[in-house]
Amino acid sequence: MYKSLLYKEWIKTRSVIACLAVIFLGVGIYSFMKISESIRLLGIVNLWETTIQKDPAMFPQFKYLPLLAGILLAITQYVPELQFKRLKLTLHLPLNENKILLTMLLYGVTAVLSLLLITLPILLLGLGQRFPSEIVWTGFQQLAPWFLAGPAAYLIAAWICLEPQWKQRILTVIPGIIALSFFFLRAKSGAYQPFDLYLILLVIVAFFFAFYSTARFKEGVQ
Amino acid sequence: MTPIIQCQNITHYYGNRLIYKDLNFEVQKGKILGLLGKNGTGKTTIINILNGYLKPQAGVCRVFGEDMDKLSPKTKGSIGLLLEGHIQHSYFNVLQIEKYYRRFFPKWKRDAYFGLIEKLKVAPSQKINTMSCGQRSQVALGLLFAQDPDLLILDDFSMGLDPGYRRLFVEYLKEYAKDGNKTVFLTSHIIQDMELLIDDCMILDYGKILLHKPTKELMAKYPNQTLEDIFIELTGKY
Amino acid sequence: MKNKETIYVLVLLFVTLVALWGIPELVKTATYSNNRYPFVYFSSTEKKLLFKEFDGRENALHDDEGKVYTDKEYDAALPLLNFRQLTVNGEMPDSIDGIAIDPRELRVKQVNFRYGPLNKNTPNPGLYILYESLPKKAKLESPGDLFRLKNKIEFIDAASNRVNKQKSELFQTALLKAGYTFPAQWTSGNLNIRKPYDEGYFSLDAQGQLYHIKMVNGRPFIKNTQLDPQIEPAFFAMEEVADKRFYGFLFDKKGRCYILEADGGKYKTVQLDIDPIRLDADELMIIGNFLYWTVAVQTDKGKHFYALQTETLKKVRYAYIEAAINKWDAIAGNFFPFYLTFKDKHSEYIAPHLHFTTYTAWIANVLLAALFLFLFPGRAKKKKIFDSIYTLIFGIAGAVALIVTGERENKIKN
Repeated sequence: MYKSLLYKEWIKTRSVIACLAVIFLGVGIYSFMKISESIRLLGIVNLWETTIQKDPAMFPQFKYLPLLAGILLAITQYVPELQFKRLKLTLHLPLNENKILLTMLLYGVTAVLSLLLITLPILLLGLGQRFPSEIVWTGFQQLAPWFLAGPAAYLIAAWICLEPQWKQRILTVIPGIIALSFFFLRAKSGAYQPFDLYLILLVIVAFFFAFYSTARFKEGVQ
Repeated sequence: MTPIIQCQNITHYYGNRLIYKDLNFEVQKGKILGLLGKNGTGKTTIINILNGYLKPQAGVCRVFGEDMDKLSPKTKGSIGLLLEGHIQHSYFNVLQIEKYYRRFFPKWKRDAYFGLIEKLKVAPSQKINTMSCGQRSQVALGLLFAQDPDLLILDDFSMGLDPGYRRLFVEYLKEYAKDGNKTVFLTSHIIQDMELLIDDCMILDYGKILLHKPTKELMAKYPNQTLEDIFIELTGKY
Repeated sequence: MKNKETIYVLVLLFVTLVALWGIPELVKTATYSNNRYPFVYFSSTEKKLLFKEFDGRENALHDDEGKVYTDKEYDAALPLLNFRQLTVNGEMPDSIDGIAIDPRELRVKQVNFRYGPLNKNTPNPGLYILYESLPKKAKLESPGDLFRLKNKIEFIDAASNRVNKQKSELFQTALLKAGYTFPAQWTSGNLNIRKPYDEGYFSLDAQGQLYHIKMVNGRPFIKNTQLDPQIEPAFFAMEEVADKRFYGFLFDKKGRCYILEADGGKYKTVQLDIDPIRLDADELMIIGNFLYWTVAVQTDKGKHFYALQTETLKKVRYAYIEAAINKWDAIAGNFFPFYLTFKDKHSEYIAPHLHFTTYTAWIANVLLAALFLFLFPGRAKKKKIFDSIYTLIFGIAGAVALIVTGERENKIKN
C-alpha cells in the first residue's frame, strides 16, 4: 500500500524531478566551466593563492539552487493535495493518517537529498582534480549550509502548503523565511562549522511541522 | 443491530453563526439515505463531519461504531467517499489511477471500474484533468464501485452531470445497493434523481432536522406530489 | 490526528526561537550605533594624549588634562602625525627633544597595527604560501606551490595538484632536525605578495615552542625562538614592518602583548607596557612613530589609551574613557530579558549565543503575560493560563509566536 502511495508521489513529481536533475547537471557543468575559465585567465598558481587569500565561493551558482529545489518539490507534491481538498482522498486511504503523511514527506526528503547527495560528491571530486584537499574541504563547508537548506526548505514549504487556512498560511511564511535565512548568513568559509549541527537539528524538527498543518486540515480549519 | 451511522447531539457554529444544535440521527444498514436541504443548511458540513474532516464543537458521530475523527484504517477502507465535484487525483490517467487504488483494497473489483471506463471511449493514457466533467465523474464513480465499500458517502453526486449520466449513476447505485448489505448516504441538488433511489429521506432546515422518514411514507402522505414538491412545501420556496 | 498538541508546542517553540533571533536583530539594525570614541594620539611635543572628539561636540580638540586646542595648535602639537601638512606650510620642526627628524626614518618607523578577537577566532583553511625570503629580484615571487603544516609539512604543487615530495622531505627533515614536534598547533604568517619583504612564518609546535620557518635561497630556515618559558604563545601576527625592527606582535595566554625582535640570530621579546588584554574580547590598536606609540585597548566597558616610548615600549602616559550606553543596549535592557544571536562580535564562527540582559527587562514579560491573561476573550481557561505563562517566559518573542501560530482562534468554517 505504501508502494502505491509512493507511486502517486512519483506520478506527481517525476517531471519536476527530471527538470531539477537537468538544472543541477547544467549548473554543475557551468560551475566547472567558470572554474576552468578562472584557471585559464589567472593561472592555477594565482587561483590557488587567491582562493586562500580572498576566500571566494567555489560554487556560487549553487547557493540558492537546493532551496529552490526543495520549495518546488513541496509545491508539486502538496498544492494538488490542497487543491479541491484532494488531501481528503489521500487521508481517507485505509492507512494510518500520520503514516500516510510520513510516507509523503519521506518521499520528498529522499528525492531532494538524492539530488543533493549525487551532486555534492561530483562537485567535490571535480574540484579535487585541480585543488588540494583543504580547498575541497572549504568548498564542502561552503556548500553544507546551502545544501541543508534544500530539505529544510522542502519541509517548511510542505508545512506552509498543507496549512488549510490562507491567513495562517501567510503568517507561517514569515517564520519560515526567517528560519531559512539561517542557512544564508554572511560568513567566512568554515564559519558555519559549529552551526551545521544546529541546522541539521532544524531539519529534523521541521519534519514535524507538516503534521500540525494536516491535523488542522483534519479538524476542518479553513 | 447497531446502526451504520450514528450522530448524537451534534452542535456546530461557524464563527457566531449556528449551523445545528443537538442534531441526532441514525442510518441503518442497507438503506440509501438522501440528505436534502436548501443551500447553506449544512449538508456538506454533515458529510465533512461524517468522514472525519470537521470536528464539531460538540457531539459525536460514529461510523461502524467508531468515532469519526479516529477511524481505523480498516473502517476507512470500507467507506467509499465521493467528494463534491467528483474530485479525484486528476494528474493520473485512467490506468494509473486504477493501479494506484488497487493495492489499497483487498476486495478490489477491477471489472467494475473498467466496465464504466469502457463506456467513456477515452484513451488509456489520457489524463483525468483533460477530461470533461461527466467523464471525470465516471472515473470517480468507477473507482468507488471497484472499491466495493460497505458504506458510500456521496456529496452532491449529480453535480455538473447531464441527465443521461445522472440516470446511469442512479442505476448503478441501485444495482450496488440492491442486495441489502450496502448503505448509501448521499446529497444531491437534483431531488428528481433521489426520488427513484432513496429509501429514507432526511430534510435539513437551518439549525435542525426538519424531517427524517422513509421516502415511501412521505410520498404516501402527499399523494400525487413529487419529492421536489414536498420539499418545497416543507421548507418554503426561498 | 494524534499528538496534535505536542506538535503544536513544537511549532510554537520553533517560531519563538525564530522570533528570539529575528525581532531583536531587527530592532538592533534600527538602533545600533558604534560607540564613537575620540581619536587619540600622543603629542611628542606636549607629552600629553591629545583627543579629537567627533559628533560635532564643543571643545572637540583637547588634551588629557582638559586643555582645549585650536586646530592650528592641535596640528602643531602632533608634528609626527601631521608632518605632511606642516612640511607644506613650512612649520615642521627640525628636531624634537634634540632628536633630528629624518623624513625617511619617520616613514619606516611608522607602525600601524590592529588586533581583534576576530583575527584569532576565525576559520583557517590550513594552507600557506612560503615565499623566497631572499628573492633574486626586488619583488617577491610566487613559489607555485602551497604548503600545509599539521601532522607533517607538505608542499603541494599547483600545476600538478600533487605533493612535491622532494621539497616536502627537505623541510620535514629540517623541521625535525630543529626539534619541531608535530602536530602543529598553529602557524601564522602574511600571505600577501605585496609586502615589502618576507619573513616566512611563526609556528607553534605540539610542545608549545614557537618556531620561525622561512625559505632562504630555496633552503629551509627553521629556528626555535627559545622564548622565555613564562611566555605561553596564544597568537602571533606577522607584521613585516618597514624598518625590520621586529617580526610581529606576540600575545601570550595571559593576554600580555610583546613584539618579537631579531637579536643577532636570536629572538627577543619586548613586552608592551600595557595591562593584559582579553584576547577573546578586547580590541587593540597601535599607531606608532619613531618616538612614541599610541596604543588603544577597547573593552566592553571602555577604552584605555597608552602612550609608550618607541625604544623601550615603556608607558609614559595613560588615559581611560568609559563607554557610553548604546541605544541598542538600552532597548535590549528594557524589553528583552534574553535574546538569541548567531553571530558574535568576538568570533567569525556562527553559533547560537543566548544573551541575558537585565532583571528589569522581566517587567516587560510580566506586563505581556498579564495582557495575555486578560485580553483576547473567548479562549478556554487552560489556554489562557498556558499563553500567559508562555509570554512570561519568552516575552515579546513568545507573544509574537502565540499570535503567529494562531491557535487562539478556534473558528472553524467550511
